[in-house]
Amino acid sequence: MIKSTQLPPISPQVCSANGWRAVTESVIGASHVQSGLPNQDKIAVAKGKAGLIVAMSDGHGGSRYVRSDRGAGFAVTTAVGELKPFIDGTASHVISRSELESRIPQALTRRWQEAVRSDLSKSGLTDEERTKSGVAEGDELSCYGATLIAVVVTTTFLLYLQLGDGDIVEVDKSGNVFKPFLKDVSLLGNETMSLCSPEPSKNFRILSRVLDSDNRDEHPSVILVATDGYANCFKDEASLLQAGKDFHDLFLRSDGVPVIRKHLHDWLRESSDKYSGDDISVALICGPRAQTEKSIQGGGKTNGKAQSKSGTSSRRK
Amino acid sequence: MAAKKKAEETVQFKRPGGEMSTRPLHFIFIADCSGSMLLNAKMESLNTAVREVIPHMQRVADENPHAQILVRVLKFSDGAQWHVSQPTPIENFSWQDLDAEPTGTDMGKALMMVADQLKMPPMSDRALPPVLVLITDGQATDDVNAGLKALFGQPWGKKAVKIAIAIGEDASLSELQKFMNNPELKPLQANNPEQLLQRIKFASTVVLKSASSPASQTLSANGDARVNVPIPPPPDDADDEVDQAQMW
Repeated sequence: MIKSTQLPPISPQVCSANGWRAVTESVIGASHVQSGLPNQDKIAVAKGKAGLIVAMSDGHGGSRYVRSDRGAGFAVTTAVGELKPFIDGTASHVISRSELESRIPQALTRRWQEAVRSDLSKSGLTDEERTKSGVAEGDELSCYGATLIAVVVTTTFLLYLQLGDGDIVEVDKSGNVFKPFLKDVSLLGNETMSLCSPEPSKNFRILSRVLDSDNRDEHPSVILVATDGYANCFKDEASLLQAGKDFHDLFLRSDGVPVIRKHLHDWLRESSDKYSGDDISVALICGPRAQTEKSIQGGGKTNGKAQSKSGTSSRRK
Repeated sequence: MAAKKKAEETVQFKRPGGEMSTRPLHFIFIADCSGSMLLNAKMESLNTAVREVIPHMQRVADENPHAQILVRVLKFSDGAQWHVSQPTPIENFSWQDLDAEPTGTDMGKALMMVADQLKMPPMSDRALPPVLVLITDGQATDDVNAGLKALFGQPWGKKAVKIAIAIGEDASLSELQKFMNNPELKPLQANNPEQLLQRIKFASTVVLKSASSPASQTLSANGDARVNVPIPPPPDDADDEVDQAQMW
């Protein structure tokens, strides 16, 4: 059996655009190493002249979801494709709530399903996959079940989008931490919304904010995005929020990015091995302010609970 | 020198975030201690079976270090009472014999008390699905529907993994089926001490293992994940060696 500690470390990836920088890393879960499954998480980062997109997906990984790693891959490429106009500067940033609520979730769902069907047409389920998943004829999409989180950041626009579990944590310039989406109380334990659920477009949660390009103090300083394997390592929500603040403080150091790049893999590796046992993916998006500060001046606090800032937020139900 | 530098660096750059911990998995035995359990040494058989199963549960826990298995025991006869009230890590858990009393079977009261413990708080939303194992040889003498209503009124009560073991032929399978709340799973029938041991072992090891390392489950169209944890089929009755002389 291969132990997770024997797997070669992969340096965190870094992508920068228009003052924003994203550091991403993903580690396979100890439980997946034990069962011989690949890492079910996928991350995609795209940059354009206006900013960055970070998309992250967590394939469900259970025996029923025999192709969920592929489903996660389709989820992040679909999200990047659909959201790219925002960072290319070809989409209007003054976007109506109804546009956010309806068009984007529906388009993402449709494109993901098209990608899955295309994959199935090229490579149908094997007898072994069919037996393992127990999937009914016509329900093959469920074998690709995965979540989706996407973040778009430009100098004038911010978009958060989430379907299923995982976390987005925003840290402001003072180190105050909050979660843009309230915890979904209908989900407990291992339950999640999914791209393979019936009518997934109704379960997307979306929040957008117009940012003032001349006042970057009001921009998020750091945004932490993670699959649920990360939050499941922490004793409680406040401990997760503390991670947002701690990463923010690290980014404020002049050597913050190199330090994070150097240690992030080991931090995630240790967290999975000792605690959640799950795949963990993390994206740290830092704004221009966090990268130019030279020292930590203290201040800032975690509020221990989720809250919403003003903006356009929606979850169709 | 290099070691000193590394040590300094480790201190300086501690892992971001607050306290970490494995996810708790609450395992609750709900045992019938009514008068009928005095007959044919059923109570003794239950005590023997659970005592024998504990090391197997500890082995399951050892194999999955990412879950913290916490055990409690609730007994019911006239009323219900916690026999082990504190969630006890399985590695520290030892079985203390239960005694039956020549009284009633207040299963409804027992379920209400379990429901009370499944509220959030004290339960956490990051917990793994709790496992409830109900063992009885009879039918409720109190309002079992009120207990079921209380249990299913709690999110964790609804989404707990619920296994029922019917001892002998007088157990009310319909009540146990309602408790399990899943048409795909049937109460496990135990008609002699060996079968009781096998049923308790199944619930305490195979089911426990599934619950302690569950993959994500998507919700159905009505927003419900009825089978929160996929449960492997129980061993076939035909595999059991039945001692007719010990049949209940």
